[in-house]
Amino acid sequence: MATEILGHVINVLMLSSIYVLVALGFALVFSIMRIMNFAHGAIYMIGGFVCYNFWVPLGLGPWLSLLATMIVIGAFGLVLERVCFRPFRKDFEKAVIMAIALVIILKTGADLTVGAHSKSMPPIVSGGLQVGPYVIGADRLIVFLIAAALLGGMMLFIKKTRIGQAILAIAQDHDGAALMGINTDRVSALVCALGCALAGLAGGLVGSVLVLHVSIADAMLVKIIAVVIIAGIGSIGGIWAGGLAMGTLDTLGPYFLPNVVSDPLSLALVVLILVLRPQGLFGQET
Amino acid sequence: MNQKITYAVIGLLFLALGFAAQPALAGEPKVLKIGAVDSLTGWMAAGEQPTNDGAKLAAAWINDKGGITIKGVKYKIELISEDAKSSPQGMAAAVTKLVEKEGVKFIIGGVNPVMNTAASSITEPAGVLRLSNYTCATPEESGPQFPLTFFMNSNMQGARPMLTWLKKTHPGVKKIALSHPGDGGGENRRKHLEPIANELGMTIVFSGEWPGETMDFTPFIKKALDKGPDAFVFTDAWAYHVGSQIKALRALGFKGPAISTDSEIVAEVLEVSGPKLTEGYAAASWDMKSPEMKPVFKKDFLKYAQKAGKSNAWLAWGWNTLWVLAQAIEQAQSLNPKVVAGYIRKDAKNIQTLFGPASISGEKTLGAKAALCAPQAIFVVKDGKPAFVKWVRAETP
Repeated sequence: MATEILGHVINVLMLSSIYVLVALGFALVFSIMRIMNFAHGAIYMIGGFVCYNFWVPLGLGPWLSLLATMIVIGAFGLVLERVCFRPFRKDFEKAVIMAIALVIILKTGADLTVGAHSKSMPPIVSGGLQVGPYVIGADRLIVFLIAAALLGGMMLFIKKTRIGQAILAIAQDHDGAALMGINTDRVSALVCALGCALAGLAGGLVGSVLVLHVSIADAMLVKIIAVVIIAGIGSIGGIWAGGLAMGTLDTLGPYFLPNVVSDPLSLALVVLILVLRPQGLFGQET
Repeated sequence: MNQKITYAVIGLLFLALGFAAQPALAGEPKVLKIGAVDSLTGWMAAGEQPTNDGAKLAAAWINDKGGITIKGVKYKIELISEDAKSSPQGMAAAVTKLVEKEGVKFIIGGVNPVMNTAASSITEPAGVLRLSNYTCATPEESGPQFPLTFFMNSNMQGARPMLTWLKKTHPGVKKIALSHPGDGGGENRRKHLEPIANELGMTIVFSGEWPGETMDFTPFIKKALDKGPDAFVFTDAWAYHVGSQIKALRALGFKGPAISTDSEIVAEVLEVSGPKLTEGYAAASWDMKSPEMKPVFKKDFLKYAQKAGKSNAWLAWGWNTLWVLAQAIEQAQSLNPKVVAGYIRKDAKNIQTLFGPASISGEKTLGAKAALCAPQAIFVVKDGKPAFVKWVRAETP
């Protein structure tokens, strides 16, 4: 029983950390730029395929591939911010249309290039930990540890550095931060790059432990929106709780409930939170 | 008077020109328009784009061989592709355009219950024969109410050969778990698989559906493994679903056999779950690189695919569907969809596919003789590669 629970815990932590990695970028971009980047799921998917190409055809191995993916997708985030988001920062409707257009462009691009092909990378570490009659995949544990380490680093960066403080200041009051001399354009670009890099990394990790396919973009977009709603829009810390909630629901729901109803149930929870606490569990009422 | 003679001469000249041109026109083949409705965009595009490409290759091959002849008249096939956009609305719009604007009487395409139903709602009243690429064998898709709708493959066609192979190679298997996609057809699949499994001395201890967007299959697989199956059976899925589930199966320590009963390309599953974890997995389908494939597959199909720079295994689906329809029209010697439908029901055995002669069945599962099946080859992953086992007769009960 204890080993079974441990298995569930590892699975929850692994999935939750992936959700948090992607949702954090989405939430940061929204907090700083007030842009709902619906393309974030597609960026995560493309990150996975970029990582696959570094890892398998180019043979760079897991660590270099993950790093290279973060750099490439982060650079893509810089371009995205400059070309697609910055011009529409003060126009919410146009920004939404731009984000939707980006989703279509990125997904169609992926359809045309990778198309029907599913890819998967080997586990970062192979083997498993035998606990009683159960085997706990070491790859899942390592994915969680990588994600947790990066997320911890990211939180420290935001809380302890001047740039991090600038990010928080802009999230609280964009114009006020600008008046205080913070270069909001530069910070926005950095946030977009960081958010995309984290999404790219998540794509790479998922490709190793699960599978890569064009359709994972939409599945992830639904999850990150749910995570951000549970957390409360604008609440960076709440993302952890939101991710953990969704990860738990998505891991335990299919196990204890009929599989096809677990997804609608977790989304029903999101609707319930929206109704009872529109600002989310950790968001501030405006 | 002179004017009358001049008109008569001009008239005669036109007549003579007309007669002179006649032989040349007789030598020119006519055009037979066939519609192809596949999802070229949207979430289904990944699987259906290659199918559409395969149909185009088959059209080129048939035309290069001189087209088809009906009652002494040569016809070249003009394949008109319309994007079904991965939605029933898109399918309805595409079929409507083909029927009303292009005036086609024959259509190929459709792969799942929703898309098949949307297409048939237009083709049947319009008197258009449609040969779908696939059926999930749900009651909504087919039956006596759809006399002009046929299916080139079904998710049930590999059930008997694969379960028989499983029992033969793993005689100790008594309990099996079924994994179905979350399309609401799980119970229907179980209903058709159970008698075959029972007949072979196996009982179904788990039968569950998973949503198409499932990211981590671990909880689903764990729930199935809690029932203690000796073997795992995937009834209908894309390769990435199967590969993901194999990964979860092995990660949870399951060492028993895993098979698919639908046409799964073993090489594609290998790409997802890797050689080590996929070892022993088997399915009845085909393989682009196997020397055991039929001559037409190796000589014609692969040559045309190579010329077009394409290598996706699902090209074979589209090729088969168009080729089978073209043969049915030619062998029926009619452009009347009802006559061609009658021919398919009666004489499908005369029709060839890339994998051998076709057969028609489906009375029990589909409620009508509407499933055209081709022989399939069982492949099993051995030493990290798809290994040919044998050709088997595929049939939709």
